Amino acid sequence: MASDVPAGTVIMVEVGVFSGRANPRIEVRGEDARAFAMALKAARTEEVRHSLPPPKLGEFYGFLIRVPRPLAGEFDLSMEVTVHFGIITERVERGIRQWRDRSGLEQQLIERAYSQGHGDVLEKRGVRRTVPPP
Amino acid sequence: MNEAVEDGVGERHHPPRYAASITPSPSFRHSSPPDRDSHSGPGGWTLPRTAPDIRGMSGAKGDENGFPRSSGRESCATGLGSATMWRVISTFLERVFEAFVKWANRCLPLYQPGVWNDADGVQYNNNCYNYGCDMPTETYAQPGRAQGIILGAAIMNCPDVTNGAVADGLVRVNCDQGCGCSECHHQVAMAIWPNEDYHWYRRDRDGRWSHKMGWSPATNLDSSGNIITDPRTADRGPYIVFCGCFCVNKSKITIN
Repeated sequence: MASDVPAGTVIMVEVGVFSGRANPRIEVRGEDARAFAMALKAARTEEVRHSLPPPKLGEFYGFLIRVPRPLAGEFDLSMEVTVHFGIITERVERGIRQWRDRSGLEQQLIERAYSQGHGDVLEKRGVRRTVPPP
Repeated sequence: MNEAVEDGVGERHHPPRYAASITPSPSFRHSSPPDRDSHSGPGGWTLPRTAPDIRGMSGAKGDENGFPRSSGRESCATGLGSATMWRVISTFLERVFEAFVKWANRCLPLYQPGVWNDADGVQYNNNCYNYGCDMPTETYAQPGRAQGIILGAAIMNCPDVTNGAVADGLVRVNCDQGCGCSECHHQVAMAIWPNEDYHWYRRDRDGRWSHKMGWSPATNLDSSGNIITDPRTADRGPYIVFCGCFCVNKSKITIN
């Protein structure tokens, strides 16, 4: 039986664009957070070992998903997960595990970032949404 | 030309380049190995390995082999003793110098990306400023915030970010002169993407520079994939304004 998600449950997603300044954040709240955690768990289907290219100054360097402990425990997720270049990376006890993002999680996050007002910083770095705004 | 070297985990040990003027000078090197027939010393003088043959020389009185009779105080023996003493002194001085260099370099951070790139709390909660100062506060530190100074996007410029860093205790320095060895500190550098962001580099013990962009992994490569030997000439992408260098004494600064 699904657990009720406290209203204050927030999955915070950092948009990796700045080096020094605090990065913009996407908030995923309540039931939406639970659904997102489920989607993140479901996205881990094809495990890979992928050496990501080093980031370049001034470029987008991925999303950092911070999962609150209750949801991380319920869905067996790491509390910090990154998504970039179509690769989902999780820290595990002895290193990292990586999955290919077959479910389009990264693109969903790009859409969320745009819809929450962070389109300008992404646009400046060449990250565009695939779904045109209504 | 800079090399494109794969970044990796672990220490890199290289001869120190920037510990002020602490570089062994040629005068402290051992003298070159003696050639077969002579013995070299400083100043270019040489000693013959064998005594001169004085047979047939007028007035010379030597033994049956033509060697001069020795009183035990010949210049050859004396010269050899001086050469040996010089080697001892030279070796001693070189070791003293190397110990001093090692002591002075103790404050320079090692390039150890594995420490920062843990794909966990250290990597994700520390930014370029944390890394530059070699202080993982896990607060995504901002210049000046520990002193109540708040930087906004509109003031992403050299004077304001510098003001914040100086308030934290960083000390401005000429990049070429470096920080010297009067204190336990290391050198950092800052660049600006005008009205957008700032970025910090630090000089490591191996003489090269490294950096960490936000929560991404630390690296010693620039945006072109080259080892950073000087942030002023490295590929900094849109961080086109170089603001200068600073010295960081970790025991005297506070960042948050």
